[in-house]
Amino acid sequence: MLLAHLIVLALATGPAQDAAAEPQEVLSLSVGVPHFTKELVLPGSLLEATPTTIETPLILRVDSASPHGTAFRYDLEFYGLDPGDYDLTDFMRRVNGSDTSDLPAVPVRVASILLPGQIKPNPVRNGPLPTMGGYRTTLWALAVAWLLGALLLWRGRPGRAASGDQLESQRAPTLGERLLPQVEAARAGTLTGAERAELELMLIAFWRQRLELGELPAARALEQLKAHAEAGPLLRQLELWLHSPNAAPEVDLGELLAPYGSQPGGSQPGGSQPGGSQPGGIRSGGIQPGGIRSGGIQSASSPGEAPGP
Amino acid sequence: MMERGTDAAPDFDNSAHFVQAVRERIATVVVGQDIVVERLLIALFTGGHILLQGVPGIAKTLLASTLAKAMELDFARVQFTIDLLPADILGSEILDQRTNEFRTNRGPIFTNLLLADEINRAAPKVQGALLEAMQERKVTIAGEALTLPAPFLVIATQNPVEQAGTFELPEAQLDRFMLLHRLDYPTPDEEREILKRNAALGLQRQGAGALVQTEFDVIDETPAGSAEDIIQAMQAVLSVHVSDTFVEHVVELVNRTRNHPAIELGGSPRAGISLIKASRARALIHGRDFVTPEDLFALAEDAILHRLRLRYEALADGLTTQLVLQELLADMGASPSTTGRALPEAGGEEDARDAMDTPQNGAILASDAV
Repeated sequence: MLLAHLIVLALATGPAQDAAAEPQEVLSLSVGVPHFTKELVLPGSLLEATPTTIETPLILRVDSASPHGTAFRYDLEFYGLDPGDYDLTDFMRRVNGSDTSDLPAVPVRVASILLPGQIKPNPVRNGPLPTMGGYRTTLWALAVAWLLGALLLWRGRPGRAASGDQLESQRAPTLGERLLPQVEAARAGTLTGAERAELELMLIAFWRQRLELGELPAARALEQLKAHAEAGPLLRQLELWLHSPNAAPEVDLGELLAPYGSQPGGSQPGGSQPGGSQPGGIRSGGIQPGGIRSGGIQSASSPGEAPGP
Repeated sequence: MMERGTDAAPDFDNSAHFVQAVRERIATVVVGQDIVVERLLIALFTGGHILLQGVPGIAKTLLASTLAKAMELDFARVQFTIDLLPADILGSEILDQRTNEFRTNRGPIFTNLLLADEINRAAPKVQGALLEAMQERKVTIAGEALTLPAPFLVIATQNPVEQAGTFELPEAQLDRFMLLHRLDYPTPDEEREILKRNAALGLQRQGAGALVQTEFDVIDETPAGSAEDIIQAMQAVLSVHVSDTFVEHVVELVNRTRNHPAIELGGSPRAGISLIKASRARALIHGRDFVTPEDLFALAEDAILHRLRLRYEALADGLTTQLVLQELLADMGASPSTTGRALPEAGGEEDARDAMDTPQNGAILASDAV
């Protein structure tokens, strides 16, 4: 007991002193507060800190150790986790594994400054589960999810969901499908003014598609159409029919519309033969070239159109 | 049919010869630029005005000057600058110190053919004054309304590059130009001919000295036609037949410009009017007495493009009005009509035709909204 008091005194005064020669005092510490003890001389061979477990009430670390005659001089760091009286040497062992019973006691009192029962420990909770597979796996999972989502969207789009009949009814009519009834109506002479205009534009678009002039500007494309051996005369006839004042040309409508009997994706317009009907006052006969006629436009009038100026 | 109000039917043959003579006369001085000449004649015959957009040095001034001389028209040129004032163009009232009375000093706008060079370099109030005079065909100086000569054609130019220090014409003012034509460089063949002709120019004696001739010095001063020829041509243009089908085409095109998702501001009714007027004149120039879709497709860019404004999103996508208009033209017929209405029946058609006929009997040179 006396020896322990001496050691504690040596801790308090700091300079290296022989633990056996000093009166021993109990060092008081608060829970969790670290304390440093320097130049503590302990007899015997070299000591080290005992490995700790989860239940170790006091944590001790040997900062340094140096020979001191037949003993060793230690710098120690320690702190208590549970209140109580402890002997520091209980937390040390010989490096060479020999017995430590010859060591003097180094008493330490660890006290809690809180009232008993004031602090209740937090309940133990389950920690987060480790991430499965790491970052690379996460990226792959996201990519697969994205692809699946895109696939679902593609499969679920409205156009796919529709049945064949619905699809047919929803699809915009092709140029050929729109052209056929107009040609039929033209042959029957039942086209309105607006329909005649649409027919003309459709025929221009038809030839433009057929001769693959879609890339050209509209004006250039029409120039080339007019110069084309097949399309040119037909379009000029069409112009005469639709735009020339009445006194002008007499157009064979059947001949004019004959090439459009069979369109891409369409069937033959029913009941009409090239050169057949000549409705709406359009008469068979030669086509006079358009152009300036001296005084010939004053009293013009054409079917479906008011007289020209 | 509407009464024409003139005693004689327009002489298409004479007008065709006159147009051909003018084109040939211009071709002796200006190489190529056939389309520009055509557009100028269209503007002249329809009482519209034209804005030429092109880089300097492609014979805009020479062309206007040659056209004026070939048609025996007065010609004036004003170089627009930032410090130009409305009075510099319109004229002003000045104090005559000899008589101690104010007299009106008429500006260069009192001419038949005015070349407004680089119109976008002048301040907006000068642009506004000119455009107002273009529309009303009269100028008010010191409270006195002075009528501009007839015919009156403004050929304005603007440079598509070097926009620093310029005042871009807003759409509302651009709309007052019947046509906006974008000039191209001459083709290599035309360029060779230009260089050869220029190299063949000689010296011109002037007093005791001499000057190197320019193309302006070789313009034939003898007119290829008279004012009467112009009037006849204008009359002939008004007699060119416009079918209801063609009107439908114009309505369809203008309507499509208003409904296109990339276009914020579509073609105005004035765009359609301009297109039909210009088509009539083009038909005459091409020897037809009726318009065809060819006229519409050929003139659509010049008559409509400058009246369109794209949405911000379309501009951000790199679209241009030219691309959008070409798409619209290509789409006409290929996709269903957007107008979705039928023409009125017989009586209505007559009304529609009456609307196309322009009152004449002395009114042919009167103010025109286009």
